[in-house]
Amino acid sequence: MLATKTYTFTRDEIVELVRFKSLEQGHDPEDVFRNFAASDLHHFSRLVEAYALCGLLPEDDPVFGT
Amino acid sequence: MRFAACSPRMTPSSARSWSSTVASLRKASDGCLAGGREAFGHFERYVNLLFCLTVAHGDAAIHLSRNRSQPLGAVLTGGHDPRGRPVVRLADGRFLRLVTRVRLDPSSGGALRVDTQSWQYQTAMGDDSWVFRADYSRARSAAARSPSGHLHVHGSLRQPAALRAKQPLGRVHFPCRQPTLEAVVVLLADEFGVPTNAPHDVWRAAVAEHEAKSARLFDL
Repeated sequence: MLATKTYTFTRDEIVELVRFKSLEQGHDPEDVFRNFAASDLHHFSRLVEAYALCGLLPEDDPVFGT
Repeated sequence: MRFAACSPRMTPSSARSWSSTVASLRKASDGCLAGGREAFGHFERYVNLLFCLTVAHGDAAIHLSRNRSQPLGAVLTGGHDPRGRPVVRLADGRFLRLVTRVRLDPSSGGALRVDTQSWQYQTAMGDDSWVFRADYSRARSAAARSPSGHLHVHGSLRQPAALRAKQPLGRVHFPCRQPTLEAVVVLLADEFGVPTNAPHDVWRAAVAEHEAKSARLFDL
């Protein structure tokens, strides 16, 4: 049996989680946000969780610099 | 914390004892294809039951992350802690790193789509112990060199001269159009000998029934 849980985050919590996952992999979170916005997914395998979480934010979120 | 109501038996047993799990899997699969707001719950349940039926360890966990103000997307990740390693513990004591982003597509009536998926078999919790990995991203730019879905193998060639200079085999992108979860379950069980919870004929039939449906989540 698998334990399952659903987390419902605020926008700020998601941004913070992306920052955490990026830094954990040794990458600058601002690069991750910028690359995600450009669909230029550098180091995809290492940053897949950070990129996936970026996808929970609206495309025009200020963190993407748009 | 919610716990899936799949069979509590995680050891090989009769086909009959898994019948309710198989029925629930079918219902969840159909719910994924139906789309709409409830599709995320069906997807989480489908993944849960698929692994429950096949290669998951009894202590395995998955979680779903959502944005309170953006109801059209979700991220399904292995493990129970959003800050922890995103891995599903397998019945062989090894791990499958699992990250999947799904969203509802308003342009197709709220159909569920896989936008990002990565699964990676690894011998320990850390990424460095990886054996093989499949990556899929719908959002890759047109300039991206690698195919949207591809497979990596962490190893070496017996004919190393076939690779470009200084290119390890692990960085080669083998095209793989739709790296479904059913595909990795079969790979793990049949090729890597990971024990399964349900008898072979039970889980194999279930995978065969649902893999084509899951592949549709990658299309369009």
